Amino acid sequence: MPRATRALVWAAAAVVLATVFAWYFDPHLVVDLATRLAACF
Amino acid sequence: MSIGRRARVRLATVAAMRSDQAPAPLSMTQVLLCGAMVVTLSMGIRHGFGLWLAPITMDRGWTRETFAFAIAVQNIAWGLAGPVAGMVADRWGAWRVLIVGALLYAGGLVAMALATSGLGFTGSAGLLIGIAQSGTTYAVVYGVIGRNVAAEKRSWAMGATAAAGSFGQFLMVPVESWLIGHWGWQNALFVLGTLALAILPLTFGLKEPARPAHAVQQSAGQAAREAFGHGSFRWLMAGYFVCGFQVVFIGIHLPSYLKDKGLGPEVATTALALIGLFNVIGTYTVGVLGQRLAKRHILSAIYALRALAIVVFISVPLTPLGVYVFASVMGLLWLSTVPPTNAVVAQIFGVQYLSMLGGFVFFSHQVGSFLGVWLGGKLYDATGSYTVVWWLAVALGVFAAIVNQPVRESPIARPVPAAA
Repeated sequence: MPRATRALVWAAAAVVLATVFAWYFDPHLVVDLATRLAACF
Repeated sequence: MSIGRRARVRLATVAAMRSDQAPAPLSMTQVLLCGAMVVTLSMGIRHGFGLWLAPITMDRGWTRETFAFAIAVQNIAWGLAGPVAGMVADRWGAWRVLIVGALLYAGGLVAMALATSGLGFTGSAGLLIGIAQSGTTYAVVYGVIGRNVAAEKRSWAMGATAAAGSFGQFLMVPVESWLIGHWGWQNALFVLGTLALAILPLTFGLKEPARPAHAVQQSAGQAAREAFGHGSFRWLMAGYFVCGFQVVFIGIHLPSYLKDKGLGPEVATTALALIGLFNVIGTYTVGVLGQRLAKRHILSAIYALRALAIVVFISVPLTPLGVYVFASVMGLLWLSTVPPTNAVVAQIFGVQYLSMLGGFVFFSHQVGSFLGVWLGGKLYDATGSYTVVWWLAVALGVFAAIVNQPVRESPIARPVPAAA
């Protein structure tokens, strides 16, 4: 796997883990994020 | 001979040679992606069952014991059915076991939602889901990984799959909490039942080609007798027993321990979230380390570090920060025993009956889990504190660190049948 792709995969994994971790403390977080993302399109 | 006839003879010879050889393995990416998604779902769905305790017992008018008994039955059923599911997977194909497991999982969740008696609840949430888990979790998936991933990448592949299962556990707690809060506990179980069916299409990515009859070197009984007669297998089982004891005791009793010590519920929530987060990192890291270091040393280090972490945790004054550090360290060591334990079994005994042998080792883990949760409550009631159980967990950790050292990781020598 090229180094840039590998870095991107690790960064994405870190973002996913951080989001789930934050979700434990703010149960509406992911729904809010999804709604905001959907509003962009 | 004409060119066409010569070509036909050559093709027939190549086909005959191919049919005599072992079938080509599945692609590693395919096995890893499908295997990881299967264990993410199967490990994740069950992990948040504790969230149903309050709503179900209140709605049905049951005691907590009814709920706890069903979950205890689930754990034992998972352990008991593991070797059988593994043997069927090794002999007739993991994909068949995964299909039956996924259907039982979905059926068990729906029946759990509809059960109106304690017996019905034990049969569904306990027996059905326990058997379903034995057919959809690590042992069955690791068999496919073992047979299709090259030995030099096996530990990493098992680590990556275990990390996926850990991620499922980490992810599903807030998801299930949200589902219960917004859709009610019964509808949440129906949603999970539908989610369990998502395992079905993934099983086809783990469908191995049939092995030729001569590729089967042993019967399942011979493989089991060989493993139980080997000292290293028994040491691995003893170590895995300790893993089950420690993990389930801490997972179930830590929130009550922190409450007893005057810490708020938010500390327990943060601790469990930290365990989940660091568990993902720990399982993957250990899988990578297993490629470079002797797995018995990794296992001994994990158990020794767990014992050390518990000693420090119960010896220093309890603060939220101390709890978070302990939870992070324990998270790193949480399911990190899974990849090296299974990789050693594959290394010693080969991969033909890896799921069945993994199932036997896991049975020992489940006995430890049962005792961890049961003795935790029993000794707390008898002594009024968790101190005795904490020290028992320390002693068992030291024991496991020692018993993993004599494990010989070299492949077992089997007598070669004399040529006719």
